[in-house]
Amino acid sequence: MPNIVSVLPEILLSCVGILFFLINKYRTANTPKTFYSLSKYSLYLFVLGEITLRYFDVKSDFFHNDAMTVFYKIILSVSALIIFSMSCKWFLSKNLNSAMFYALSLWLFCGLMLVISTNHLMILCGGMILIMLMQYALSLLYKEDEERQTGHQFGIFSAIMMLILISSLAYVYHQTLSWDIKSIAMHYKNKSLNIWDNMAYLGFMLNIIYMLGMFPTHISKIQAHKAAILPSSTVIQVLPLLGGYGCFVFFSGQTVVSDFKLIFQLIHLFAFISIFWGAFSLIKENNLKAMISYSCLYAIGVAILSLKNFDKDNLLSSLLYLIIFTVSVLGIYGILFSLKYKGEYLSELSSVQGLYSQKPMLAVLLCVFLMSIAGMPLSLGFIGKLQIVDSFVLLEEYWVMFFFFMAFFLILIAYLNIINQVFFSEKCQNLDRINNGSIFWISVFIIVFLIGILNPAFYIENLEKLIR
Amino acid sequence: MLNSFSILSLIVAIPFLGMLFTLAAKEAENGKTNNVFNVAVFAVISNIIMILRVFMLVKLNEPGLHLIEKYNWMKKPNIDIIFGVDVLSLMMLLAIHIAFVIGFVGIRNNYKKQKTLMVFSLLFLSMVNGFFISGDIFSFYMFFEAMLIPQFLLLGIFGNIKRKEYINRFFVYNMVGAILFFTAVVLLFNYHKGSLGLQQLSLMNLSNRLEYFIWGAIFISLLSRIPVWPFHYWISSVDSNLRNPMVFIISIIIPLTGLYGFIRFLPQTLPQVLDIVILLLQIISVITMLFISLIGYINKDRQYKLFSYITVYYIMYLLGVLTGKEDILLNIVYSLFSYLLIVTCLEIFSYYLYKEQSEHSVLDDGMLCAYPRLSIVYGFVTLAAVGLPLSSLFMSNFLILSNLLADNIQMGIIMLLAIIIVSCALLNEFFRLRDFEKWNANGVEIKDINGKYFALMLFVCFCLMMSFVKPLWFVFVF
Repeated sequence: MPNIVSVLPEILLSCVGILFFLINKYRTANTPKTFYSLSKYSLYLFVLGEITLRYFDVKSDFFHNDAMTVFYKIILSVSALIIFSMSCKWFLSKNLNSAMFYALSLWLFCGLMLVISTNHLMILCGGMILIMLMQYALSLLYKEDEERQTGHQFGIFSAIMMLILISSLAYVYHQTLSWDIKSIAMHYKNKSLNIWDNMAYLGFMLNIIYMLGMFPTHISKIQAHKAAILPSSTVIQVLPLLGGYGCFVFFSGQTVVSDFKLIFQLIHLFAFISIFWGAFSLIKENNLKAMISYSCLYAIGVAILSLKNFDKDNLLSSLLYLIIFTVSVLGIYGILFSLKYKGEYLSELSSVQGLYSQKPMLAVLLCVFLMSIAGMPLSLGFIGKLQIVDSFVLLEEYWVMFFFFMAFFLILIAYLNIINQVFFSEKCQNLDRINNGSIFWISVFIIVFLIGILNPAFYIENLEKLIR
Repeated sequence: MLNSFSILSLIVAIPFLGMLFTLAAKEAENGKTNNVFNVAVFAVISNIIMILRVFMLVKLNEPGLHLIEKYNWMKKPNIDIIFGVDVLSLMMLLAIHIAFVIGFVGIRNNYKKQKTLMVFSLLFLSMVNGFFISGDIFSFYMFFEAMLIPQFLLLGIFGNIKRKEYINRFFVYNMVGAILFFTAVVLLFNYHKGSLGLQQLSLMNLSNRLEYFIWGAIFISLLSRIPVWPFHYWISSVDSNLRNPMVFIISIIIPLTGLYGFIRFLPQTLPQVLDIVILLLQIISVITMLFISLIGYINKDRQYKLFSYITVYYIMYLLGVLTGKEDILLNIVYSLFSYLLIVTCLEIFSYYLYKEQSEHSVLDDGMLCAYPRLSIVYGFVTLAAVGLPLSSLFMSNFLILSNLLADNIQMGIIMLLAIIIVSCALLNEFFRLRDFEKWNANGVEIKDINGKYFALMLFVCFCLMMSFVKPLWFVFVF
């Protein structure tokens, strides 16, 4: 009988997802707030459970619950909580049933929790498949049949990735007769690798890359993200980015990086292309959600590129950069959740024209978050950029640093265009009143920013302790 | 001297706090209490008092930075933020603050988006203060880059620049310089394994390739802020079109940051191999000076004439800094103090005349005849600007020019020619504005500058006069 105690919090969350359907079916007086409250309390319980398990050092054959995984889980839980809170207002204003959204999001969340802490290859693949399915379902949520085309394309692409994943899994199991990732890694360490071994490993890595939304698997995801409703789009974009990164780090850390050198070189090449693809596409793009996606593509490229040796310093820089980026992106989402015109949320760049003349505080905050993503000094993002550039210098990757700056200029131009529209253009429409929920979260982000700027050591030292 | 009261941090914090209070203040309306203006001016004047207090605390004759404040900002990489001041930075700070007061008072009746203007101006001031009190290369870089954001927003909102791409390009090209600086700073950190004081950099020997790269990157980034060819194009395309005096004042502080960087970072001993680079820069500089001064002379736009004057003088100061002589550097700083006040006053007067002109729909020829108070101060400031013995500009520029002439007579002559041309341009403009025969009032009701404003201007003239007598006169008065 496998030890399932360590995975109890995840089981709890999955059950809550099922509970949502029951409540939705048998309880009549439901509002979006009902499901939000349930999700919120289940996330609190989840975090409490994770911390308790960590405190009592509960061990399992299938899962590792170390400080780092708990940290990832808490960060993801907080992000999920913020997104759920902002989404609740969206559902309230649209007067739509939110049960499906919260249930799918919780299952997606469960999948992410599994993939960042499992030692079992089957569970890893199961988690990945769950994530893909949930992302696909979220992308279709509240879309009319004719609007579901991009979602279906995303589904087809996900199915192909699943096939690759299952093939890789079958091949690896056939070769090693083991599900334990460490044993499998040991098996491969002692033998010379053939092309199929490399292909199987690449199959796993491609799926992780797909979860991250990195080149070459990003196109269908970005389209789906663009077409999805704002809450789904936020979940699809933010949660897999952080969770996928955790999975990438743990999976790569457990397998032997040096044995699959070629594949890691390939991943670095993908990361490099992602940076430029993200930066160039950002300049051309006019849809706000797609702009965030391309920013994420750029950021994940930078984070992976700085992970050359997987040593502690690289990891610290990369993780810090990504966390700061996520905070900034959540800040931008907070602003998007606040901007409405006649009840419709804004999605095009042209619709935020002259925002400054109507909502000056929101415009200034948008500028702060954009500058943070770009890494301008005296914004939190600068600390992330500094860490990344410092790691490039330590690795003596001067050319990579040069290209990083080139891409930085491209995204800066794109952000300047947004600022131009927001600050320097005349207003084109009278926006609705801002809801207080988003303002609360934006204020929290600003406090996080201020702490980070005044005392970055507070974040860095704590993160370093966790990594070491 | 270690400073326990954190007075320098306060100098950065006060405008920032002022900005927050201004943000909370009620937007000004015609004829009603102008809280935004009052709060902003109060913040700047409070800082002037703080700066004068710092002057009292600092032993001006002792070399090095004073009132050092040190914070460990980050452990990995190990970054210490160091603040410190000396007479150079204090003079600059004081001049900028007085310029801000003049600017704020000058636009007090302009209610269009006044709150925005004040908020971003104070944010900019806070960043500039951070820049001038930086005692280490890291904080120097941070404020060097951070000041671009409020400036960019001000240019975009108030610049009245028809083509927005100019502003984007201007920002991006400034960012190129800033990124070069950033690269140099990160390399330096890894090279020296820790924080680096400003003075340590000027002691660098420039012996290997990395050191050359670091120095070159900093050199280009600083140069990109000064309107020397080829950088002058972007700067002129933005600055010469500005119609808001406060934004103009802010935009002329940007070249000052580049110049100040040169004063701080120019190595005390430059290797011989760099002689050719310096010579090339000198040649480019004097050609730019001559070119800009001629365009300024020909151009009918008063704003462009002022811009060309500013450019020519900045380049002259740059050439002075490149001589690397200690006494010249000090004179440049004394001269810059008066120079900043003069160009601020000229800009504000020019703005006042533009406003009156557009309000009454009259030609500006001979216009000053109808404004006796304005005419007095305008005349005084113009004469001080062309180099008459009315401010510290006279003596300091005399010393700078004589040194440059002694170093290289050909270049010195071209430079002198450029200065004469821009001075003639300013004088011509003044005489045109004072030409009584061309003045055609058309029976319009003229409103001269009010008594309080005139008093402030007279006080500025007094400060200029006193700076001629003794550049640091206020240290002995207070």
